[in-house]
Amino acid sequence: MKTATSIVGLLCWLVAAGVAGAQQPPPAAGGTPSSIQRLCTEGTEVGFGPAQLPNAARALRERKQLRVLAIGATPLSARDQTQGHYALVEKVLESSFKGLDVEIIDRGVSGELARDGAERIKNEVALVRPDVVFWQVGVADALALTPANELKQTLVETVRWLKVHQVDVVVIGLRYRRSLARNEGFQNIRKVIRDVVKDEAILRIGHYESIEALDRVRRQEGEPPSEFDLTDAGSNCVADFLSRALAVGLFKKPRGEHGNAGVPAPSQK
Amino acid sequence: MQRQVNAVDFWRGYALIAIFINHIPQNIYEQFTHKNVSLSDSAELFVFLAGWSLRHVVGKPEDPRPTSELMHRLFGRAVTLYVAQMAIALIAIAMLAAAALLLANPLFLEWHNAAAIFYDPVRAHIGLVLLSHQLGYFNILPLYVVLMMIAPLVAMLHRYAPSALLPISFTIYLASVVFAITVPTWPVSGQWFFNPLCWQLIFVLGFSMSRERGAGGWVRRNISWLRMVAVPIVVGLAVMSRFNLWWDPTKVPEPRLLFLIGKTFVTPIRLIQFLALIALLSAAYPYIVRVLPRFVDFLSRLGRNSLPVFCVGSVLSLAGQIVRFAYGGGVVVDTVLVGSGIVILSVVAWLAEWRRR
Repeated sequence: MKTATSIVGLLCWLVAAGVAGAQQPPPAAGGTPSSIQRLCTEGTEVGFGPAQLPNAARALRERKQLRVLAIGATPLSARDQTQGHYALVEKVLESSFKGLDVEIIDRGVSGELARDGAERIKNEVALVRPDVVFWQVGVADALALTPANELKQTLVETVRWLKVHQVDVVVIGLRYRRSLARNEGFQNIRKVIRDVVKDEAILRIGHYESIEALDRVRRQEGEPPSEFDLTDAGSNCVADFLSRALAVGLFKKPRGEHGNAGVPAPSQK
Repeated sequence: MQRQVNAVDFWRGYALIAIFINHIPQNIYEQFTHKNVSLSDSAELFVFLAGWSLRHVVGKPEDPRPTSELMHRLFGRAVTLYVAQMAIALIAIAMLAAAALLLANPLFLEWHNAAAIFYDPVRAHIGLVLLSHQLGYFNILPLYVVLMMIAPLVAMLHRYAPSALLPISFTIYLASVVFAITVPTWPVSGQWFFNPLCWQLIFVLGFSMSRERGAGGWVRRNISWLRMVAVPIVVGLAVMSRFNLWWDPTKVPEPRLLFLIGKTFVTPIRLIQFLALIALLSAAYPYIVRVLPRFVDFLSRLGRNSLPVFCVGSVLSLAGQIVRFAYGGGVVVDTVLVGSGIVILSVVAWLAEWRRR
């Protein structure tokens, strides 16, 4: 009963946050800390894909512990300075769910192409034995002009390998850049990531869409934020988006089933 | 006096060119460097030859350099390398900032681990000076600095307890691999891309192999059958590498790093492949010098001036990445970038020698 109450409470919180975000215009990027905080907590679309995180959920159920391997460049913002980005994610998750122990092992190599990251992921999975991988991918490939089909093949192969090895994946894809909104190569990379996420039914952090919406609204209001403001806003919110998307993935109901996805009962604080 | 053309300078020149090309990822010439058919790449070659070159500083066994002079030269070299690393890192940061402004693209501010510099400058600058924060593709020189810092110890051990040098180095390597001991980065959490606890073995092997006595003498006496053993290792692993015929890393026994293939720890399989490759390359040089003497002369000049060439090459490769993004890749752009880069590197080497005349 307590479990059901917790899940219902969590879902209500997520829905409320989503509704609130949908009804209110996004706050100013690069504005006051409170406005950025609102964007982070009220951004409407943080998780994409019909994804669940069955292996992470099992780890939670059996050990009350989540072991996360982070691959790719570590997103960083002014807000993370005292603890580091992933420390913030750990903190958000642990403070949201009582008794949950989250350990994030950061093996990110900034500037690493997906093909090189894919090689390392296999080794790191063998060494770290994570329940879930946070894979920040696409930026280096977009800058290095990696052919879209090559990236797609790398992503599909690696995601499938991870699934076979009972490791969930959360993709942290490209971030919104106004100057690249019409850049064919950048958008091709973005499309490839979205396609793979959809086809492989994995979770993607939708910070591109959130910041894009913010930019659109602000421009309609005649106050377009600068590219650097948008970057700052996006960076500031990644930890929050990641934490919320993870919560959605962990507690999402599997298709065709009733009740929760076998997740334990971490009561929400 | 300028050194005669030799195999060490030639292969070091080759390693410098290969590093330059490989550090412009996705350019069409990247597929022609030996990393495509080899587990090890130019980084191992560069570090091994750095160890080999230590022989010139240490001196011949019958005429060793005085200890105080040796220490002075090695520490001086380490300081020179450190200053070079600071200079190219600073230039790289400025290049990324300029690219972000000129191309109105803040992605450049986050590229190659630069995000901390721009968004967490207080701590990142401390990390930069302490070498605990390294930019992507600018992480070989910090390893080289550390290796040069330990070089006096290597030289002293070799002088007073030569038989202990390789066992000690190997023990440190093995302990690091078995217990996955790494050197952490800061302020961005992570680990050194080139784990110095492991890569020191390649450096020490390079130095040991350069000596006529001890391990180096043994290798020289047995090089014929070593090369015969090396052929199937290099060919077999090239085939496995080409067709991705690797075992599942999650199925290997503990300690797993002993059986994995990784660059950070230069794992045993990679190390063995590299040594086998070295055995074969050493056989190839006399033929190359006979058939392509001008080519050997050209690469040897680069190798003789490895530090300035490496530094300029690092900066040029980053410039190449930025130009590729701005103008798109393809045969023409890649050819211009790689071609002009090699020309500039050769000019740098020539200028370095001209200054010393």
